[in-house]
Amino acid sequence: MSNSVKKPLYIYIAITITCGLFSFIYEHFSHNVYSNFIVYLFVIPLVLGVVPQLVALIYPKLAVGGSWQKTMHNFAIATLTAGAILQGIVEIYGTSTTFTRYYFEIGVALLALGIAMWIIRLRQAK
Amino acid sequence: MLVASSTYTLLDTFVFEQHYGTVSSSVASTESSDDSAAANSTSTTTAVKTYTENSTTIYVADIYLGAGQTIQTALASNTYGKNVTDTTSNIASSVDATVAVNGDYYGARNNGYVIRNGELLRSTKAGDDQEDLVLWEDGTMSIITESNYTAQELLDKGALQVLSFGPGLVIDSNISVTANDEVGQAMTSNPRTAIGYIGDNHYVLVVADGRTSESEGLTLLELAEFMHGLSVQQAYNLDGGGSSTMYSDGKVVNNPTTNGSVITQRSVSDILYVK
Repeated sequence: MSNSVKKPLYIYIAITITCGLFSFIYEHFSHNVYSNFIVYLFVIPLVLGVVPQLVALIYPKLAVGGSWQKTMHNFAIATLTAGAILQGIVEIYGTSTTFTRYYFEIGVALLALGIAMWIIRLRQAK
Repeated sequence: MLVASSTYTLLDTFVFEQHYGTVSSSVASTESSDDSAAANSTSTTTAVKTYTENSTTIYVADIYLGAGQTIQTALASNTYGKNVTDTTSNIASSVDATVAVNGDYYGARNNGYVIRNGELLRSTKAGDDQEDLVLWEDGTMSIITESNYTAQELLDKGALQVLSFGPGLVIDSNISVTANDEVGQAMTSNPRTAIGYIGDNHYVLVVADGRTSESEGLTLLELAEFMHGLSVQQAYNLDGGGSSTMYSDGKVVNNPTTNGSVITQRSVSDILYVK
């Protein structure tokens, strides 16, 4: 197993578990007021982090992203996760804010940029 | 950068005060102040009773408004704004209230109609399905849906107070919520605050304690059933949870549960009161 795949895989697994624990603890003290952004928080690092690393592990030829691509992808996951936490806190408290939409917009933009960079690298590799 | 922006977002949402303007803390009575005999016959009477239902302590302020009197509202610091808050008892004592309960905590949201003491403060809809409480200048109360009226139309029709929380619990003497209707996704028992209109200037303000070993709290359906049992024509759910507070004759009569366990008042944006 390549270190370039193994290390981020372990990190994303740790982040996924941490998000799950955070959700469990936060919801435990929220008097049964639920927000899907908190309940399903772990899905973000799981789907966008763990799954791609597992795919790269199974198909090593797909692991072609450069450092910039990886940085974009990591920032995207961090931004989306932060946005989901904030939106969940705001929803559980019963208030609202206009700021969290920017987290999702920027997160999706960074994610798209990272994917575009990965596709370009993949084509160059071929 | 992410930490800084997240910190700013939380501070903006929960801490930074934004003042949009000062407001009146009362509605002028329509009764004649120089007629002492008339004034005596039109004074408001209140009595607070305590009930225990569904393992919950419920406080009911039974209010007979004098002629020309209305249920009034007051904002923290007499200021309309975001994160401008004070305890229910502080706001109530500042306006010499006899009985008061917390309102809709309008400042926690950016949308939903806000009319207070005949002044239009916010006219943005919270949603087409949003049910609002309307207290009219003739002393009656109704529950409307924001999709059916603009805030200006309600003001023009004689709305003195419009609160945007909900949902309506009892509409035209029928329970209007089911076991699946909850505020946000609070699916279980919680502290609650509600207002009910029985008729002929007769109102009830209701607060249920919750989240303690002594008092479990009510679901919305249980609250609606309780209100229905008080023979109300209309009943409306106000901000609950840690906000639920009743003030009477200079003191807090219930056990507000800020942060879920500590018995202390949460600071809120606004109150409903009589004096």
